[in-house]
Amino acid sequence: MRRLVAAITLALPVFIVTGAAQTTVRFTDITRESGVTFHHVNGASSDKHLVETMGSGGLFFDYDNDGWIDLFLVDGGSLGDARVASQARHRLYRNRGNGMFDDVTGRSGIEHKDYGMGACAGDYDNDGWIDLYVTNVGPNVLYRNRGDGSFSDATNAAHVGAPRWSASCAFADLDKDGDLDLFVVNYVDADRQKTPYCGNAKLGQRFYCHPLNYPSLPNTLYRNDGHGVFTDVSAASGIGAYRGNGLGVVVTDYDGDGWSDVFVANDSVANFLFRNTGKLRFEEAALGAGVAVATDGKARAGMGVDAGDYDGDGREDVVVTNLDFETHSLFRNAGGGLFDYTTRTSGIGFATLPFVGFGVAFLDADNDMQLDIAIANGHIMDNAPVYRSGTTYAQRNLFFRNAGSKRFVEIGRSAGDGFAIEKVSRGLAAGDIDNDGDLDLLVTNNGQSADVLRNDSVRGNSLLVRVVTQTTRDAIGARVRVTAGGRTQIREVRAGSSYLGQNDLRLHFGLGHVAMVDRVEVTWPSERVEVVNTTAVNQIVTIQEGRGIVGRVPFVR
Amino acid sequence: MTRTAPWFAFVILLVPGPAAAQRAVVVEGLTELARAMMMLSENRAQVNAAIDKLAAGLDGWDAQTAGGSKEQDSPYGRSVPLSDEAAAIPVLPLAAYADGFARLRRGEYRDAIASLRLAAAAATDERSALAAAARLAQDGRHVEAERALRSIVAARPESAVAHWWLGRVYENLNRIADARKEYETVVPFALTGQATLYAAIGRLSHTEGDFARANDAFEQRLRLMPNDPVAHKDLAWLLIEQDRTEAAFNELITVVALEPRDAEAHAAIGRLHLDAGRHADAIGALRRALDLQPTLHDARYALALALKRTGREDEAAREMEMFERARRESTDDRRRTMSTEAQRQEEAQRDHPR
Repeated sequence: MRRLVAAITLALPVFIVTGAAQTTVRFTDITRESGVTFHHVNGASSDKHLVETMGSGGLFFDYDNDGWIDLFLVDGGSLGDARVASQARHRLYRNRGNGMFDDVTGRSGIEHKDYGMGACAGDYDNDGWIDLYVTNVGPNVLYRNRGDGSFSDATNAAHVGAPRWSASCAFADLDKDGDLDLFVVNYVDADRQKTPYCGNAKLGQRFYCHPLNYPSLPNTLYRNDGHGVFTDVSAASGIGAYRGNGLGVVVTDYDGDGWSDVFVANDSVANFLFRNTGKLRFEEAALGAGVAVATDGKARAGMGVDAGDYDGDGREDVVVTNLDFETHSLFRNAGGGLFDYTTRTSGIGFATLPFVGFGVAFLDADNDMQLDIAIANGHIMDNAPVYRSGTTYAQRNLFFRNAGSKRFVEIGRSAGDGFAIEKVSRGLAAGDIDNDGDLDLLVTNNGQSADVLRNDSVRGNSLLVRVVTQTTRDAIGARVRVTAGGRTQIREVRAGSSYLGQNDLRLHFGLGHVAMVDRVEVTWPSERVEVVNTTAVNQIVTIQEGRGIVGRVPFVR
Repeated sequence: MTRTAPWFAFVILLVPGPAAAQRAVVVEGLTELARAMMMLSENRAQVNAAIDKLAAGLDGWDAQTAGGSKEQDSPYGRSVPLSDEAAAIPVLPLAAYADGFARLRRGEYRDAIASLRLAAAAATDERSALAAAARLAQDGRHVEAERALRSIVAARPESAVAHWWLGRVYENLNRIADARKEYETVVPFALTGQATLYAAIGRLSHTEGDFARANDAFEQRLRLMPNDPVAHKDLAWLLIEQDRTEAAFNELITVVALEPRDAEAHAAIGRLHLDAGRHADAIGALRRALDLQPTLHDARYALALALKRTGREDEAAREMEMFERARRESTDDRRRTMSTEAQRQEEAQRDHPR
């Protein structure tokens, strides 16, 4: 008997470890067959302009309203070499309707104008066609969607072309007046002509400079005045009073007061959490909320950020990617406007220690009703081994499977060939490119080709929900609660998150073996609450404000 | 070489025994011998004098215990461990002395003395070449120093001093793995100061991201210096990074038991309490840390968070304000330092264009 007990005792940890390592998550690299041939131009030079290693991003958006998400990739350029700069070209890829893409850049009217960083997309003029905003090192560009497959440059007319070094951006109706405002994250004030010498000149070891070598910048908030024109309200809103080294942004109503708040991931200075107090006024609340720095009081090199309810308590938690040897950060929303720093207790800490993280997304990759986390990594230093031996410029990306009980297990090495890739990754966006009910990934890489990763995980049931306003614009800022199988999951519609990019605007709900959704509750940006009862799974439903479900399309499976 | 002087502030302790006076002579002899090695002095009289002193100490010790009941205390009777306590730098042999030092480590004292005398009588050793390489290293000519040291270790692989210098040069060249390997090579040769070497190996392994190796090195260091709070603290930081919070907590408790005035350790204990949701315990530990070291501003942030979670809003606000002010000043300081450094490098680049 004693022997039996001993055997069970010995076997138990093995069973637990094996159980934790088992995964059904699998991402397949389909870049080659997808038709996406984009190769990022970083303009790397011996002058080590910081921008050369920071970009660029990309996003999913359905620019032609055909129900299949398309893909936009931002190209970099060169600060010092006009010939190299001329090779840079943003790319618009149209989804053929099967998850494969055609390069339609030529007829899109989208041009490469300056060193490109990121992008976000939202229908700013409420005409039912999603528009595109591209951030640059230099003036940003707003592309108005004409509705015929092409875009026109509306930057000057809209007054949104501030010439700073901008990084991520987000569209959101922050004043709840029915149109989308624009939040632009600005990084640092770097001289385009001259970069400080950082490193060891005697040894000829030059590195990209730390962001604290440059003056910080305030972020920019543009209020949409409703007729295609924006007004810079950074100062009046309170946003402009705070200077940081902003890189990532996510808009989320963290305190559940009905007003969308803005989280900015700052590089090497404290993060910002701009709490929306209404009427486009914000107070900076990151320190008090516990998300400005880690509990050791030290600021991290915040890059990308996403929000999601990973523990199923109905509150949006926040994940931020950081530099290597800092660990990425997980902040669990404890309610009452406070977050707990759960990096170490969640399994996110040690697993992220060797990685420089950028793009990040909460997503339920295996449709098990729990949010997992995907992270794109790549070092800042192109000569990383000189900077720190044992490290590399290219790094593998990470996949954290939600193991329940507020714990994650990193399973990237066993998550298919899509996660075996080692590149200098930057952006990461999630979206269902083949409308089969699971979330695929787009990863952008610095100076390298982008990767399209198809989700081939063992498939559970799911539901994709598109919520649109009365003007058929995507209802950015809407909060959707789906109750099924005894659980309620929440999602918010966001136009801008991760790093320099944006996810599919449709909301994905993994449902496991649940065959019927009991309830879908939409809290519209207008504060109106709408409920749809009993919905079948495995379909894309479109819910329009005031009209309930107006469209149903079964998954392609 | 004058910079090396503080390195010799070590004390070599032998196990307690009846021959305390003779033990002091042994310690003195070893100290002088080590100094002669590390100073790279070509003055062989100095070396011989040190060996004489060492031999006299050992003989005296032997004489005092010979025939007595305390045979086990005789230095010639068994291996006598040499402690790492307070050894700021390893006592390392030149190649010719490697055998003698190895015998000393094993407690074969008579044979050790004979071997050391033979080494001292030998016509040449690597001293001149080492002195030249050391000069290059101290002038910042690391690449040339490396080349010189490499040729020394190629000819005399047992030269622990050469390996040690090579480790230092590699550290300056930011060749972390190479530096670590050199220190690992030195460990078996070190007469004392192994803990210092393990500390360096652990630190460099950590930089390489090799946590298993770093853990091992820091644990070896603790085996040699179980009562060193710094060694426990270094291991605790490493464990925290690996999310091994319970083990880290235990190490930190040991730190404050050994050194109750260690504010950093109290603060770390407080943060671990905070992360675990033990807010009252966190407040206690963090307050203690700040009482001991009011300038430990980072701890105020954790304290403010803990106070806030226990509803003590006013106190939390006060701590947060102090933290915020200090954080801003610290960021400004960092900016200034980085700017100055960049200017320095730009000047260096102008002077040494590559």
